[in-house]
Amino acid sequence: MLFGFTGVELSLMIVAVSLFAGILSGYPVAYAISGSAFISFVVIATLNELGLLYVLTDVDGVMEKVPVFERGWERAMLSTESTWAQGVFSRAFGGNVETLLAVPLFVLMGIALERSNIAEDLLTTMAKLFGSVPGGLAIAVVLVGTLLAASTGVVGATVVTMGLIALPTMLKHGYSKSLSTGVIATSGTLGQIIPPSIVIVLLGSIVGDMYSIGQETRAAKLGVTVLEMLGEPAVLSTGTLFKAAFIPGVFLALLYATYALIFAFVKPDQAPPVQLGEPDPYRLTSYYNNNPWLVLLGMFGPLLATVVLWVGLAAFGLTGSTKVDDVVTYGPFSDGVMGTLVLVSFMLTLAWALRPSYARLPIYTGLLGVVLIFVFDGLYVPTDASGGLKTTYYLIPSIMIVYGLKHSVGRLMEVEALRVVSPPVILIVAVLGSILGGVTNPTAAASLGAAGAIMLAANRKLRDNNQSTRFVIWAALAIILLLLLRGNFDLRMSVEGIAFDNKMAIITALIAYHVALFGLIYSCWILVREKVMAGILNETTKVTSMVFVILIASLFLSLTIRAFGGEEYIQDFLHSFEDPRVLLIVVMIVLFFLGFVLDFIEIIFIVIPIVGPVIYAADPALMPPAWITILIAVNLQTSFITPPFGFALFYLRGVAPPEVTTLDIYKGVAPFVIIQVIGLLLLWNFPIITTFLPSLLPAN
Amino acid sequence: MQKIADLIDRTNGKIGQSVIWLVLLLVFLQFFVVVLRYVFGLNFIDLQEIITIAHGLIFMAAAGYVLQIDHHVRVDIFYAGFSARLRAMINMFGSLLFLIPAMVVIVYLALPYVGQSWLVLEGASDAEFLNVRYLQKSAILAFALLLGLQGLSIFLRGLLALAGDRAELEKISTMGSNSDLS
Repeated sequence: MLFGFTGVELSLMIVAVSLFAGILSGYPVAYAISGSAFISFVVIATLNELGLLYVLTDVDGVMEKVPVFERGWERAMLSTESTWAQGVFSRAFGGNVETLLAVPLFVLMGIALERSNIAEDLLTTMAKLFGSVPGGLAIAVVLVGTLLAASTGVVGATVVTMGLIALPTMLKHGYSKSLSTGVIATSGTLGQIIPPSIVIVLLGSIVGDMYSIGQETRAAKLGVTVLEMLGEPAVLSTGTLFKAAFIPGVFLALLYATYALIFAFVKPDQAPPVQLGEPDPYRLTSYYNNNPWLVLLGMFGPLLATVVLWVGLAAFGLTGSTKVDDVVTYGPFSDGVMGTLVLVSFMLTLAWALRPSYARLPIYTGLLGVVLIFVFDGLYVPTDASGGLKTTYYLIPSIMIVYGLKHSVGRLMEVEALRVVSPPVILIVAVLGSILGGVTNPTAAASLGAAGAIMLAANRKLRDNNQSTRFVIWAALAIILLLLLRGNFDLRMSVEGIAFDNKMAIITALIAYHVALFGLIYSCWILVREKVMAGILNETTKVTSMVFVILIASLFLSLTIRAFGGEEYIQDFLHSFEDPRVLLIVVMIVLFFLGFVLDFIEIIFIVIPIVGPVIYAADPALMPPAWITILIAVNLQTSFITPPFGFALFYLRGVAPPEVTTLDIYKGVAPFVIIQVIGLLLLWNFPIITTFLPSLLPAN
Repeated sequence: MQKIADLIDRTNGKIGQSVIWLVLLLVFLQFFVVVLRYVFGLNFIDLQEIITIAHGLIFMAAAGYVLQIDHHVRVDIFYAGFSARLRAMINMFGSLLFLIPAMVVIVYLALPYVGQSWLVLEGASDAEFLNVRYLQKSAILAFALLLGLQGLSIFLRGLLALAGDRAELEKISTMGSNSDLS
């Protein structure tokens, strides 16, 4: 008992001091963590042997000095010995690895898009599209930051990319230094929240366990099982977290964009409209009698009409299935067909509206195909029909549609903005959609995203060299065909007695599969030949190693803290808060300040496992676990942009031109910190922002 | 000393440059597995096992290389403002106090654990052909060894820099700035 502190408290102080000294020294954080864990273990063991570290404990009415390592330091070390090695092994190869595999895949996806200049093209094109609006360049930055979220889980990457590309452009066109730097730092860190972010993957791998442990403890206190208490098992999947993160992320992006607009309105000289590139290169306004509203109507009117039709049919119960007393009845129209038709007719009419001078015949043919399928679907084809019946009816109209699409896609690709923006956007939306729609788990979606990004990168390289991109396009078409077949036929090869139509579908699918695989291999070869691949892989390896070494290093710290009872001590302290909401506020404030010195990854792997079992033990009806997690994520994002220690600000400082002072960055980011706080308060008061989407969408 | 440091750096560099191709293997196999599972309803446990092993190997074997090229996150609130000599000192003592002892402990603690696995030639529980859990566990030793050696190399280079080797000092002064993170 020194200075009135118990042995456990002193030990915690020793750990804290050596940890912060190690981290702040500037030695690589991962090894500073594992090293300081080791050093504090040695120090605590020495003091323990000297009889200086003990806790006064009531043993049979007598106050006794119990040392923090009750049975000596050798035992403390030996008892953790197997845990150490076992822990390293299971963190590297076992347990949650299937979920964590999404990390290298998402990282590769982002880096492939960046290294092949697709990200840069995206930013320049968006700037051209939005530049003519006041504050438009800032809005473009917000949009691209939101879209590129995939690659940006690790603090820094996007801030650096956008700082290098967008900042000079914004400054050159008269944007104020503070608005430019503020919007870049904030949008660059938004990627931590918007799925598919690797931060959510990492959080998901930890908080799922925390939630089930927390609920078990709560149930044990009430003397019931978790199932009796909640009516369902305490499960929190990464997929759920992705869904929970989506609306808050988009909402924050909207807040940033709104701020940029208001800023441009109040100070027009500091965020002026900018004309980059030729205005209206396709002479659309003159074609539509100089009425821009007619252009918009031509582009989006048909889409609106078909969607209204679909929603109307759904409202009258004419689409999808209804379940009454376990009897499922299908409406005459199927949702899958309707969705496809809406998409197809949008592409056909968009080509018509944007390139009105071309021949109309392919468009008419395609639209006729759409109408035919719509009629057949309503009149002749029941929703649960076999694939064979569907093929009989849909084959000829499908060929008509493909003919129409072939021409319209060709025409649309002549429009520069669409050619540049649509491929990465389609890829990102597909990855996101398959997670949000519950079609695949995040890892599967990530692998498709990585493969898609490789193909896009190869496509871009081939285009640069004026070489044919047909193999890549075939592969993309083959993947679409695969998805269509999978939606309409039973392609399982392991079942007995496969029907004839399914057999034909399987053969077609196998061919498509091999075309896709060939396209992927071909794309890889192109990237290897162009000497881009090694760079992409090298970068992916570096980021992956950086993340997972911290995962292993943090294990040593956790085990050391556990060995002398520090973890229990902190949890007991947290338990002393009566109101779980007060407790959460306290934890959030602590996390906010920890965010100044620790990166997201270290906080997830070190701090969350200690505080998690307590904060996730709250009643999920009052404090949903997904809500808690998203609050933590937004809170940390705020911490990373808060002066003077925010991580993102250091990264931006590193790439900003010299005329931008550190004070400019601080001033620029200040309003965004306020926006973040507003966002946090809204989230805090309306948990439904996070729980709404997961409850609406099917589970993964 | 220079020679030892160079040898370590070359070894780790070679290993790092080799394992990056495992990333490509990982992407391929995962794509393969996902399509087979979601489209054709086929499961290949062995393939999944290879992916898991590849993933573990990538970051464990590359850790030394990543340290060498200084790509692990540093908190450079103070470090960024330090002189090259002070940085050299931090790298030296950091390696000596934080990195090397921790890696020695890992090797010491993991040896019996890995040895046990080798003695019974332990296999994975659910894979059919790929029963190489003992090899996976050995990766822990390789990880600690490569990292420890890299720590030694950093220590030696720090020593050389402080002893007046201009080139080494120059190298250290350009290390650890976040601007080259992208």
